[in-house]
Amino acid sequence: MSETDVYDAIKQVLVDELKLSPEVVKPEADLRRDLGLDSLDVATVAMALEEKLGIEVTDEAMQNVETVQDAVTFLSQQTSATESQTR
Amino acid sequence: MGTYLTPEEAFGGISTIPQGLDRAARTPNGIAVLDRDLNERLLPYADLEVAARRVAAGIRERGVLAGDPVCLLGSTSPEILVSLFGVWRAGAIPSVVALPRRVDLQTYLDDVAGRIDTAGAKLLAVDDGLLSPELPLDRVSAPVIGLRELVADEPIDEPTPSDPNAFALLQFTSGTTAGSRAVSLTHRHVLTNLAAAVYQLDAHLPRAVFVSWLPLFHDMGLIGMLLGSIASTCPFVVIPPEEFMGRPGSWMDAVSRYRGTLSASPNFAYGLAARDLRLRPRELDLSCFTSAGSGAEAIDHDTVESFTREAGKYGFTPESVCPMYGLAENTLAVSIKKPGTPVIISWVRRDALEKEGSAVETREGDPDARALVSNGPALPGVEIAILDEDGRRLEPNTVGEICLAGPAVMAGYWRNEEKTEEVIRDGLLHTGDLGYLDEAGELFVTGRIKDVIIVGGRNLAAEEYEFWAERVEGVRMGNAIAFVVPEREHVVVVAETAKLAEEAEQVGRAVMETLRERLPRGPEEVVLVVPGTLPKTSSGKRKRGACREQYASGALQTVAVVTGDRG
Repeated sequence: MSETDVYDAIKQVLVDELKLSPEVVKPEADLRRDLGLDSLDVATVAMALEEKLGIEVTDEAMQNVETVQDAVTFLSQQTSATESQTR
Repeated sequence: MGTYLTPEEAFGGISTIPQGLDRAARTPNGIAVLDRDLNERLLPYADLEVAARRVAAGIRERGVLAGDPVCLLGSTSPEILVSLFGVWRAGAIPSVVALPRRVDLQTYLDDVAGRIDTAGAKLLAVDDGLLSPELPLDRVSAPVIGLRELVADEPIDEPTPSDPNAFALLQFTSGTTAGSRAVSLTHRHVLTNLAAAVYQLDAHLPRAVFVSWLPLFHDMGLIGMLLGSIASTCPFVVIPPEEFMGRPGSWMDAVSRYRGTLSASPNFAYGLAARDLRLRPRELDLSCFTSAGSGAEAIDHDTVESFTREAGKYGFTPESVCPMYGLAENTLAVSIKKPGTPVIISWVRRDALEKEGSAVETREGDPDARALVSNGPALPGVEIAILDEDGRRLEPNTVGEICLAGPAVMAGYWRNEEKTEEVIRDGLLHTGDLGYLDEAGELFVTGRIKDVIIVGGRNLAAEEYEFWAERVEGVRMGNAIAFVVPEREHVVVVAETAKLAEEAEQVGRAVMETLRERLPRGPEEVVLVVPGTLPKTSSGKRKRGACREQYASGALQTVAVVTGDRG
């Protein structure tokens, strides 16, 4: 899965689950400071991403993620790790 | 209204919350505070009672008298539970303040300071872990003290408070800067409402075990779960909210391990639980979970179905889902579906519901229908009346404002007669929620729109949107109305402006920006209208319902529209 795919998935989840405006979801946007996510939102997003990407996204991992781009980078690594394991 | 159980009849002769703890302390039961991995810290009721007396003495030493408000700040822990019961043991009135949730610390600190002022608190007792320079509480008007410091060496030497009509709790409803109101409740209110709820939910039975992840500043968490367990003297298993958020699966793990019979949560938590059960199949037995209360938020038919389906794989039965309706102004609960009976779903025609406000049944699965989940019948002692905007009682299956009377209606908003008179009129509590009763007396809530906007599990007062919108240059003071389009959970703010066309659009964008900055959720749409056209009552109060109708029917005299381009 490419970074673009992961970015699209994250954007989709933020728009669908949290009803955020697509225009505010940008790579440099800080999840908490700019997008206003709280712990409940993070839990919701983490679970929706698990479902969409088919990987485990722990809360601990999400705590270290600050921006949308951080999430893309982290989740891309996770998905490729999962993909190589299953090969 | 009919007959109802008194606290004395329901709970072995108790009339106050601290008497309830005295009674629970004579059983071997107690509280287990869990983390997300279910590591437990145990607090037997007997130990809680002894520790509470030491806190009561500590509170007294700091000059707090019976009837004085005391605010508490901290997540769920044995320490805050001891402090809370210490406040009750001293005859003082606790109010649990919400924890910091958002990054905007300044807004949060303003809220805390505002709530301390609203309560007129004599003391702010704070979890020792929160006492740090990162949470500067120096602008709070009451002395700030760590929970540990409140514990005196010797227990208080006074009899257990026994006056049922003394104030027992200040419960903040919702909202931040603009809408900070505290519901004041007596011991009699709390215990009478609990008696009705506990019996309706089978929690008076000997096998009852309460499991909760709800925060203690939430009325369902504090009154329903914590005090429900104490009054029923049954075990209470509690997960701090941040532990639940970190691992939502911990809720069902705890139900399974501790053989939980009863839990209550807002709708969204059932959605999270269903998703978690689907993603992480594991060994669980949820057959014990026979009273699954869902309240404090609109109950979504799909969520009920998905939870029932996923939990059903672990022995959970569909009849165990118990939708409920309530509000802090009636202590907690108004109506609850009985466990063991089917969840009633009404498929009603969307057009008739929205345009005429009448519930016309249609076939299941009709794409033009809205599936409404019944919140059950009124609890014993509660009388529900559905009123139109002119205060006339409506027939069954007709949508109007849900109003009610009964023994658990609050004494009023604390030190706020004006707001109290706005909601308690002609002997009825006006909830601001819309709904209808069917012929059998089942309550259906169609929208929670008048004063409180609930989006994604958050309560936001319409006043807050209005408050901030009116602070934008170009918006006429006192001339903004916020409401929700219930189906889509879209927040719309309508504001009057004297500006025209492009300038009006600029005002609209400024409103949108301000609201996004100030509130956890910005509105989906800002509509600017011609001055003097917003619907108001003769006394100048905003008619949010009428405004929503005008919006829906296109009758607003619109100058400009700014959308958030969402979804």
